[in-house]
Amino acid sequence: MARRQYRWFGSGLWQSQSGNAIFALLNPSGSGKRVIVHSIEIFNHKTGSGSYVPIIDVVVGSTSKTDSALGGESVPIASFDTNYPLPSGITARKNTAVEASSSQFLRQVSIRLTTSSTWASPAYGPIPFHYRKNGRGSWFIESWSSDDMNPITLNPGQFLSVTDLTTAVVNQDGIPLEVMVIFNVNGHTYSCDAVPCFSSYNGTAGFVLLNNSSYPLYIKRFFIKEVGTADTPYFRVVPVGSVDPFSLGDSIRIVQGVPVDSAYGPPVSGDPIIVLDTPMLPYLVPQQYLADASGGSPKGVNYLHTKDFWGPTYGVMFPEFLTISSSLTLGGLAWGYRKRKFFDSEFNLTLNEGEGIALVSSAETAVLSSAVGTSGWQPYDFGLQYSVEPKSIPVIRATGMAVGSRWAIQKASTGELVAQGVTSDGTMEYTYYGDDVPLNMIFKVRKASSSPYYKPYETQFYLTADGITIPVSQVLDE
Amino acid sequence: MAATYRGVVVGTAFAANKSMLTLFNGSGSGLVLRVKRIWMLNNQTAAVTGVLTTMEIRRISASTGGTAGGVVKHDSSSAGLPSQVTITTGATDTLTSDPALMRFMWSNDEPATGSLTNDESECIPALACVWDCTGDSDLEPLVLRQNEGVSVRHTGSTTVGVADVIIEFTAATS
Repeated sequence: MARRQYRWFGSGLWQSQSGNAIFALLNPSGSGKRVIVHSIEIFNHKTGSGSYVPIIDVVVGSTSKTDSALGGESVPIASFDTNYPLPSGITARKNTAVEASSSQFLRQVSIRLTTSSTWASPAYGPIPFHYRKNGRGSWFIESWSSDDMNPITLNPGQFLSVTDLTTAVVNQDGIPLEVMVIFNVNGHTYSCDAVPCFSSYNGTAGFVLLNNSSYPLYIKRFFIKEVGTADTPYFRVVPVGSVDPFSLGDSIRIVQGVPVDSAYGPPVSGDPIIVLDTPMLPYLVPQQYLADASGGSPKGVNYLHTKDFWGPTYGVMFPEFLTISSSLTLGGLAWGYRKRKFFDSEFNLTLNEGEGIALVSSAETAVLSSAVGTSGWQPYDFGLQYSVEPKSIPVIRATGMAVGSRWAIQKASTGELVAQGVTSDGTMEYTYYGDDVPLNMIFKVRKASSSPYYKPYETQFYLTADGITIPVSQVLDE
Repeated sequence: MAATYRGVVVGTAFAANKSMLTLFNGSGSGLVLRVKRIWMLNNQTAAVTGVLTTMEIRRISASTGGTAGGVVKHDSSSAGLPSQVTITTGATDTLTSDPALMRFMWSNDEPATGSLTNDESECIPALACVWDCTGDSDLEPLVLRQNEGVSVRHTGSTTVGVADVIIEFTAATS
């Protein structure tokens, strides 16, 4: 299929203002393809007010639902030892449906200062400092082998869910909360980590760990932590200069688009790569420089590890941190479908081999008196629709045919007829939009319908992206 | 020019985890459906206490039951849709493992006269188009081959209010 179209949609891994791209779409060097980006979309789902204090419930229950029936987004699970892949049936999802029957075993009130966008620091930060047993703020579960007690266990058919049950308002919680679970199955250890969009009222859970394997799942560590700040993000789509190579090898960060037509099948080797939450440098921008407008002191460090960046940018967008409510706020304006397309279908940006684009959240301005926040997380979804096609469309030409000859092009592997015709001037030209090239094909010529007659002519050729011209030499059949 | 149809579900009530509109291309239809646009309209006048709730557009692999919606041909000379192509509300759908094609929020509170909140903006077709593959020939529609479908789902649990859902699609043999 010469051209295939895909769509990726989700909240990604982390809406960072600290230097990483939210996502990058890359067309690898040597792919032999080009990528057409049709649209980039940003969806603001936040409804909560600044003083909202969520209560997070953690429950364990049984479910008959399969992974796909839960909806939402898949959360990748990492193995501590890659020799032991995760047993099938164990999945994690975020922003997903969950059945009501369950037994609550933990509850956390996430504290937020009511007068600013700063989250309570006791629940903020890396694990070793704020999630020790007697620490302040958030609670955690720890059940390593030294504990003389059963760990919280998800037997086959059971799930663990993390849900905001505070109020009857969807997505009121714009709080940046991270959920992490480390668990043991069949003697091996795995972990997953998500920054979900906590929802309430609508029966969805921010996070679900589902065990439909044949093994019990022992939860060794589980914690919720507040992460980052909640600043208004400033989204830009920028050309990619380079992307952290480690990210490209990290299956946790790599996602695939869904074909808009199942006939296309899933993406194949050499197709563009979508990588989430990746360190990157934009094209043609050094790591450090000061713009002319700079006051001279480092007041804000944006996604580029620079300040005052104004480099190549395809577009910018303030989706606005304000929330969606019954009144038509600026946040609400990011709600309507037609209004939340960052780039609409007329965008049609082409990524040639070795090129890419990234969506980044950067400093609002470099002349602020205080540094920008490190995380712009809130309930955002992102959409991306793109096509993949050969880097060039090959043309098959033939010359020297006897006028009136019939010609045909077939696939060498199957004999499938690709095209046929009759030449009126001794030449033919056919633009091939079929399968990806290179491809072995057969060209046939015959003139047997009227005198002078010619013997059948046949040649096999190797069609590449450069196309081919076939000089035909027919022999009289008399 | 492909035969174009519009599936219409009028005044379908919100319910927990309900498919507000399902378009399914069943086995034996002999058709390939291409979804161009979907609208969801807050067309209700009875006073309700609405809330903000959530919707998803999902691919499905099977659909049973539900209440049939209406079908309108853009050209009355187009062929009628075969029985294998169904447009329903409240159907029991089998979701594929694909992630949502789109999530969007929805207020199911009734619109009011003389104000412009999100309740009212949902009544304006230009603003209530929740899926649009038109306007550029390079942008492909969502293709539904046989045994494939699409569901506009209410993923919330609110049970008040109603909405109209309209899906615009073409049907062809290939």
